Amino acid sequence: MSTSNRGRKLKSFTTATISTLAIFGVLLLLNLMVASSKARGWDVTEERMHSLSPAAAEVIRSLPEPLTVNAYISGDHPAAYDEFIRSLGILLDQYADASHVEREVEVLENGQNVKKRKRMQLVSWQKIDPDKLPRSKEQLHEDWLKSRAKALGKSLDEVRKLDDAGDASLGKDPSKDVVQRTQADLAAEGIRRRPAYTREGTSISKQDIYLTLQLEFRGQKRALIFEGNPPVPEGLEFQFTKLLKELAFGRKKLGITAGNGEADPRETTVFRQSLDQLFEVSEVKLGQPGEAAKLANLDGLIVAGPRKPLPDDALRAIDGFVMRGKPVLFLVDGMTFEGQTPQDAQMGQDKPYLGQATTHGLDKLLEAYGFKVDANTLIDASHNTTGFVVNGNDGFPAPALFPVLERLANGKAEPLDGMKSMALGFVSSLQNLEGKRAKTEQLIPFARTSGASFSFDQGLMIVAPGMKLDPKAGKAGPFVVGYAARGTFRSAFASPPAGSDAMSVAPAAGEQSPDKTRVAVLGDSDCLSDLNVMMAQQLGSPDLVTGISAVTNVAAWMMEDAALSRIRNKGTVRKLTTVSSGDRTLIKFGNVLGPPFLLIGFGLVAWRLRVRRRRKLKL
Amino acid sequence: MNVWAIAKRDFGSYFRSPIAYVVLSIFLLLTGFLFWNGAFDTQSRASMTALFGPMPLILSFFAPAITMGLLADERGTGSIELLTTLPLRDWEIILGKYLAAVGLYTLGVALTLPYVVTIAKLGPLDLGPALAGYLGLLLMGYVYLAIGLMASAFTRHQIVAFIVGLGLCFLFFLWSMMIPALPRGLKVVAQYLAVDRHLRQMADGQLDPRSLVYLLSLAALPLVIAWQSLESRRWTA
Repeated sequence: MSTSNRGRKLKSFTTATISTLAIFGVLLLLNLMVASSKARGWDVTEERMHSLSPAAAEVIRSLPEPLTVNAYISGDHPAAYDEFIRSLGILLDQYADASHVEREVEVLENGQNVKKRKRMQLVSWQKIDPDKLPRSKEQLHEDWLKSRAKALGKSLDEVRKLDDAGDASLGKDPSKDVVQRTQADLAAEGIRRRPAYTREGTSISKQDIYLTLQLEFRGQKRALIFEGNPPVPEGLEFQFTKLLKELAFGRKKLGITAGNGEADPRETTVFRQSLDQLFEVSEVKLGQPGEAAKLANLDGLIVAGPRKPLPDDALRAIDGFVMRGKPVLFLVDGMTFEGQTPQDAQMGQDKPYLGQATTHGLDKLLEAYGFKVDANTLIDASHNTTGFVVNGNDGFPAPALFPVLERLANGKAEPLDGMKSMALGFVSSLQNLEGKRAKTEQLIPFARTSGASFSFDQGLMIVAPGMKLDPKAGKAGPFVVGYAARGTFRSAFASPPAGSDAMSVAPAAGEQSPDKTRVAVLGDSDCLSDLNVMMAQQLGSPDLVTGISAVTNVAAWMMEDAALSRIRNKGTVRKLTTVSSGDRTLIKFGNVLGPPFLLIGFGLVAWRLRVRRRRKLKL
Repeated sequence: MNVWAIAKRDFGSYFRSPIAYVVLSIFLLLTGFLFWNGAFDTQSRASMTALFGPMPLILSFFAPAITMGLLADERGTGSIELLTTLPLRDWEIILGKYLAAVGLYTLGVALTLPYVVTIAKLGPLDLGPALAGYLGLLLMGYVYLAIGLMASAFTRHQIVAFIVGLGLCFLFFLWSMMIPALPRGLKVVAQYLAVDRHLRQMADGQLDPRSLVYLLSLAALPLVIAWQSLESRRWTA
């Protein structure tokens, strides 16, 4: 091999090695630069799932004073918790970033108070590892004494005596430092270790760790403790904003009616928990002595589906409440069903159940506010979900009959902002009596059934599980089943009754509510039942649960407190339309086999053309 | 221009034999079956996540199947000698062949777009995460194709190229599963290196520049190695 050839090879090898290393180096550097940058990328989800909601940012920017957050997190936590802790950090950064505002503040200049605009950050946070804090002031003091004894070459007892005598030569005692926090201080504020269980293979290990946020506002401290092993980041924004809002602004008071055939509170626990997250909820047994007076302390009221006629006093109390500009949500069933029991269903007996008009006694009130709940039941065989029929406090699974509402204000407007679907079991249609209201500022038909729905409005309706209902027998939809109105409402009563405790809250004759009073009506109350949640879990049908969320949202809208609803609705389930099993098979096989068949068909045509072209070739 | 000519020639050759039809049909049948079973499960969500979940495993097989013949076959038949004597640079050959494989794979992925249309018709599909997921799917496929091409560049036997490519791609698939066993300090780096984690993040609607840079870099590395493998005749011959 000649020297020049060897030299050429060496040159090639060197050039190749250098260029390869250079490319590797550039790529490595690029990755390091991007990885260490603070760029968070783009959130391409429609609902900005990975970004702070505008509603949360709005709440933060409305804080009257700065709020600090201490994230007490053990540095030595199980690896399975990394993802949650990372999400928590990102979220808190987003809160801090969103909290920059410009506020007018008074400053002292030349002995005078001058108003100036100042930029300030309303939310700041820091991560603290409590495992690195001393256990208690006593322990800190003891450790300090030991360190001083060692440093001064004296015995511990001698140093202790000097300390008792207040000898300044010992230096500053850190346990006297008021800023110095200890684990015992944290425990007194409810910040303690929690067990963190992690699974490795078949074994489960337990480790006690700190994982708590503490919010501090105007000297008040509240802790946010995370459940789950590990906790999930979903809902974190809602939990945090809720706590922040409560701490800074307090909670509004909401009443729920009871005692007139409304669903038993023990059977609507999920709905009540959902409301409890937003409001201070209390029960009002309208019609019973002294109860109407409770309304005076409330900010809003839900009339939760009475099935017995409300007494005159109760009606007057509600009317008086509206006339004072307080919001009311009416959940009214046009029809009530009775018949089949869970036992019947378990025994396989498909008894029919009978529906008849509900005697709630609210017609007069609702009519005065411009609404009418029809004594009918809406069925939709096309847009539906499998559900169950609520019968008092019981219920049983029913075939797919419950209309999944076609329009929820498109999921983009008040009051069901962000909600995608909602099923209502045997809902009744509503009518808007426009001329009855003194003034309508806003009327939102927030829930509507599809054009394929139909109504049954016979005096007595018989439905059996599995029974096919004939659409021709009913009136065709779509039907509005939920209205939310803002405006001025007329009183339903011409004169107040004498000698009633409703007197204190009853309206004067011919009275009108103030402007911007909010009244909402939904033609169903069964959706509040816990059975919905139970069945939704069993059937995997989240639509049934969203009925509870929807009512909570409408309540939040009427209380003018919808920010949290909007945050909570982020990421609500996007469900596929129910299709028959035949259509499902067709869709599945059409999609699975269609593209390969098209491809093979194209290949065959191309092959035939190629063969034909070759045959025509003449050498 | 040379790159384009090679890409066109190799892309066409996929379709002049049954290879493209067989590979793409199996790919579509498998992805379609897994996706539609997942889409119509009890949750019935309007989402494309059921498509992206099994892809790292599926692509471990399909990417090497697409690329196994690209260079190994040329070496096996000796046509590589003819190719390297043409007025082409080695990187143009590598890039041209890679683009042919990329074209075939992109076509395969594009043929799954009817799923998106169907799901969007059946429910309120969030298009952002669906499209970001598709971008992640393409980038992940491009990484696997580059690895497959690299494997093909080192051997004259297609089967060897396939097995080596499969092994390397499968390592990426297993990578995420090994992360929990790693010490804490290594975990952050290991997570960054896990390809399927980036795909999951994109399918979740988070378009992170880190993911884009990492996946593109990861696709470039095997191509550079493949290029140097072809160049090596200059100093080994």
